[in-house]
Amino acid sequence: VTELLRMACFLLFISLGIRVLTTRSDSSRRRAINLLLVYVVVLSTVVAVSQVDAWPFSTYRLIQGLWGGNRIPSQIVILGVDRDGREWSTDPLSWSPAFELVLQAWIERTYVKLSPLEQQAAARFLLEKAEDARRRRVRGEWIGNARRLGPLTAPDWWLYPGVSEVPTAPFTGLRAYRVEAHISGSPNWAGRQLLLDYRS
Amino acid sequence: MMLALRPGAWDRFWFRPASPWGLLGVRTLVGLNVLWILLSRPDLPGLVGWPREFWAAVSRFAAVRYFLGGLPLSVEYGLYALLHLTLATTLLGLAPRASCLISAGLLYHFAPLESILWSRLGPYFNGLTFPILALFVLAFAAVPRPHAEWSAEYRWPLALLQIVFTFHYVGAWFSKLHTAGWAWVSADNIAGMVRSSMAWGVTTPFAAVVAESRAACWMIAILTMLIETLFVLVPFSRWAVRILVPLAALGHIGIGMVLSIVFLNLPLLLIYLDWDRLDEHLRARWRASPPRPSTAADSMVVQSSSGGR
Repeated sequence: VTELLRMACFLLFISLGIRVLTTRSDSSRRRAINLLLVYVVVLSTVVAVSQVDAWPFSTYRLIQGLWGGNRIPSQIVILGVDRDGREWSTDPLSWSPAFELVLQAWIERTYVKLSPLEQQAAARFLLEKAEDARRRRVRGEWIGNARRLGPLTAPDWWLYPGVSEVPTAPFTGLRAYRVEAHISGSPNWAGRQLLLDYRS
Repeated sequence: MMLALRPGAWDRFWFRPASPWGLLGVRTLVGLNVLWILLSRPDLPGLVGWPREFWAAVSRFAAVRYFLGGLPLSVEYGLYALLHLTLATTLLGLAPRASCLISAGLLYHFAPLESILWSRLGPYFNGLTFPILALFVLAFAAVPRPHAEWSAEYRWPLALLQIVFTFHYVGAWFSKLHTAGWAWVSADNIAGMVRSSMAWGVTTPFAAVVAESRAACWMIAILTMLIETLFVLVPFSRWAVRILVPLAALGHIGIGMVLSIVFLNLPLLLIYLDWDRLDEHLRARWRASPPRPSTAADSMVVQSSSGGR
């Protein structure tokens, strides 16, 4: 229902705009424009103040949390595994068009709830993407989202740390860990938990 | 089509005659910004073809809301190519209303793919949210011609988009109040945020410097609060534009250099340029005839608002 209400907010915006576009008489057109203006400003304000999203009228949340004290942030790390069992960092662009942050959150929230068969199918798909990206990187190609514009590619909203070392041996497996860090002092890894472990 | 006159602040703000350059500028800035982002996402429609396991947490209603599902992958790619084409025609000014309308509709369909597997809130920080609204408003507005006379028809869409853009900042501030409250404004919080980013692999040159400097952290916290709360003034005051827009631009660059967070709509801050003054200046320089209001009604608006400009 919430989704449909959000869609209704958007469709009302469109219908008010179409009314501006199609109204001919001056006074009616002025009324139509005023209605559109009021609607957009009021809806944007309500969304901002209430923080209830009605995208594309957005809450624009940004770095809104608290990071003080002994908070322990966690991150999902996705690693390729070669035939010797050695773990390698995967290129963040391997999952294009999905960005790595999206995939990390998907692994943490959705993958872990899938059945074993579904997990296997999803992990196989990801391994194929990681291996394809590795092969292209070895050949010196731009990969994923960067394959068209190269260094001029618009990044995700976060700049991912690059991968310095690309293995020449193929990936035969994939692992994902939830890694935790203490931030009260200097960055200090606290521990990691295996969430995904797939071997072809 | 001309607008009828009604006196008052509302009319002076929304319906004073304005140069067509404002809308032309916004159309060009938004078109270029979106095209850059889309060319950087060449396989975005491909996400529709990912195994169904990846879509397990996406509700049917969310998919319906964005018109996702049901179309063959080849059709999705065809629509994506059409989106590139309509953006190009938007930039070239060919059938601009239809181009803007189709671009906006297709963007509404494709933009959520960037984050739908993770979040149902929409890709509010991936650079395509404001352009969707902007392209729709440009489709509803009069088509600007470079040498057209000034008109209220060019003012209200520009003013509306300038107000909508401020919500990037106003909304961000309310999100901080909702989530963290006033405790967000503290050196400890900023230092913790930077250290957290460093723990996630951020290796920007200034991260460690900022994390260790309480003065820098306090300055960032206070400046962020001031910019995000006061940015609401920008559409209404040239002084606010002169002070807050450059500060916001510098803030985005600083955030990128410390936290690796990128604001892909940064070039769109240029929508706050004084397009009318730019038009006047260039027309005078080119010795063109001075701009005139297009109707008697508009002329009255000019006279009634001249003291306020």
